[in-house]
Order: sequence, then C-alpha cells, then structure tokens
Amino acid sequence: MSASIYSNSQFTDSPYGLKLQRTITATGTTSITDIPAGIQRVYAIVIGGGGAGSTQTTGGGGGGGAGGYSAGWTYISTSVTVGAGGTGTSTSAAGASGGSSIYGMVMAGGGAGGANGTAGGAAAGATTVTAVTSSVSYTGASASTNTIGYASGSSGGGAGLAGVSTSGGQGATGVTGTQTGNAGGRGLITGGGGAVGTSGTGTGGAGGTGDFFAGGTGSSGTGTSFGGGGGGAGYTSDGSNASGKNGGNGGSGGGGGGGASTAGTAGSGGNGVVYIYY
Amino acid sequence: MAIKYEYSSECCSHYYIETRNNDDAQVITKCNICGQGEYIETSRTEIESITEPVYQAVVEAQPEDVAVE
Repeated sequence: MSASIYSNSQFTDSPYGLKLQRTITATGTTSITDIPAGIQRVYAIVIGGGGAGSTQTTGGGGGGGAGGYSAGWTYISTSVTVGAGGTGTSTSAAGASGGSSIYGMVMAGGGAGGANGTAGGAAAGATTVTAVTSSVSYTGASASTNTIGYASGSSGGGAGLAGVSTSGGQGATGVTGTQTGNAGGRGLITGGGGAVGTSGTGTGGAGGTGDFFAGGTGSSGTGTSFGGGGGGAGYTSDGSNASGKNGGNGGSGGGGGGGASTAGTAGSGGNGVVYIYY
Repeated sequence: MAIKYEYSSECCSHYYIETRNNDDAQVITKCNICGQGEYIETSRTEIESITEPVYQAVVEAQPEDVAVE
C-alpha cells in the first residue's frame, strides 16, 4: 500500500500529540502574553494574505495569487502578525499584494496582486512572477523533479499552475467574440480566476480548486457587465463567486481575489491566519 | 478591534482560544481534539494591538554549558 500526502485531503502539518490551542485571524500585530509558563517551543502554521485581482479599462484583469504557507517549530513570541488580504479596487492597475504573516520564526509572505494587464499574480514564494514553480518542492526536492512546488508563479498565458500556494489565472485579452478567463491553479491555497471583458459572450475563470475548500465560480454573460473571475479557495473557507463584472473575494486563509471585467471591482484577497499548537 | 475569545468544548472541556476581529466568524466551531462537541464561549477580552512585533527568544544558560578554553 502506498500513500501520498498530495492525494490525501485529510493531510495536515499538525504535529501528532499536540493540540491546536490558538487560531489567530485578527489582522495586524497583536500581543500574546498568556502562553502557559514552561512552554518555550510551539508548532505554528502560518498563512499570508491573498493578493487582490486586477482590473483593466479594456479586457479582463488577472486573478490574485494565494498567500504563502509555512509551518514549523518556533520559540514562543509575545506578538503575532496576520497579513491582510489585498483590497480589490476598480482602478486600472495591478492588484494589491497581501500582507505577510509571522509568528516567532515561522513566516509566510502575501500573494501578489493580479498584474497591470491580464496576467495573474504569483503566489507568495514563487521564484519569479512567471516561473513555473518555486525552486523547491513541498517535500524539499528540486521543483524540477517534482510536480508540487511550494508556490507557483503566473503561467503568463493560461491557467494558474499547481502548487501548495498557487497563482491567479490569466484574464482574456480579446474584447470581442466569445472569451473565457483562466482558472487559478489547484492547490492547498489557491489563486483567483482571470476575468474577461468582451462585447460577446464571456465567462470569467473560476478560482482555483483547493484541497479543503472550493474556488468561486466566474461570471458568465454577454457584454462587459459580466465576466468577473471567481475568488480562490482559502485555507479556512471557499472563495466567493464573481458577481457580474466584479471579481469574487478570495476565501479566508489566503485565497486570491478574482480579476474584474472591464472597469469592474476586483476581488479582494482573503486574510491570512496563524495556528499555534502545543 | 481584536478580541480574544476563550472556549471550552462541551465534550472534553478542551480549552481553546481564537483571536479575531470583532465581527469575524468563528473559525473552529467543533472540538478539534475529539471532534464530538461544540466549543462553548467562556469569555472574551479586547486585546492589545501593537505596531511593531516584539519577539521573545528565551535562551537560558544550562549547568552543562561551560565555556571552551
């Protein structure tokens, strides 16, 4: 019999024998001063905020990238920082990146916002905006020998690529005829879908399918009042569906926001989260 | 506003804390130890938000830690 953590939806990095004692979702930096005396080391799972989708004056914007994922042992700290998701706007520009999260020496970056154009944003930790994956895989091997990278960059020409944290999908460049946006990549925490902005029939890309939660669906219809991309799945909730030309918000726990159709409001990234076990 | 919510599970009395913004939904609702019961809120406290992270690395000298000459 063989088992793979990649196909086991029940897999978590939670350490055997320890208990989840704290979950922190309040964004910004807050204090933790009451971890019981005698506990010097704890295990933390830390997730950054998701990036917002982008919007454009013509065509469809790209989806935002997912927040990073990091887990490990750390000394105890008197403070914890949870990164907020990037806020989606109706201004034609790159989407806002998500904020970083940190507890002790475990930290995770925020996802990149959708590009000022149609390309989707990279997940936190991707080697470059357009790299296939991060340089190492989830298991520590070279990413080139393993299909699961820690984080994926925007493919630059299609759906977001798979990884633990994944990139947003690319929006459609065409402004006439039938157009379809690309989905965010599949993974643990996923990027938002790319949008379309066409005078014809358009369907926004779906947010990436998560291991635990679903991505939101893209909007479909005729004309630029439709075509927003769905929000990516977060670590703790589903991504939101797109609504008309507006992108869906990323799920809480780092999901990327969906791109917006022509001059719509892009989806915001989901806030990060920190879990502490001891 | 950040609020610290303290819970006790109705099944095994597991003490569990969530710190979240005032109007955000509870993240973990079922006991994460035995998975049987709901978490019952026992108290909530407004907690301090700070602008700069402050880290506390406790490293104490042990009796066996001796200087190398």
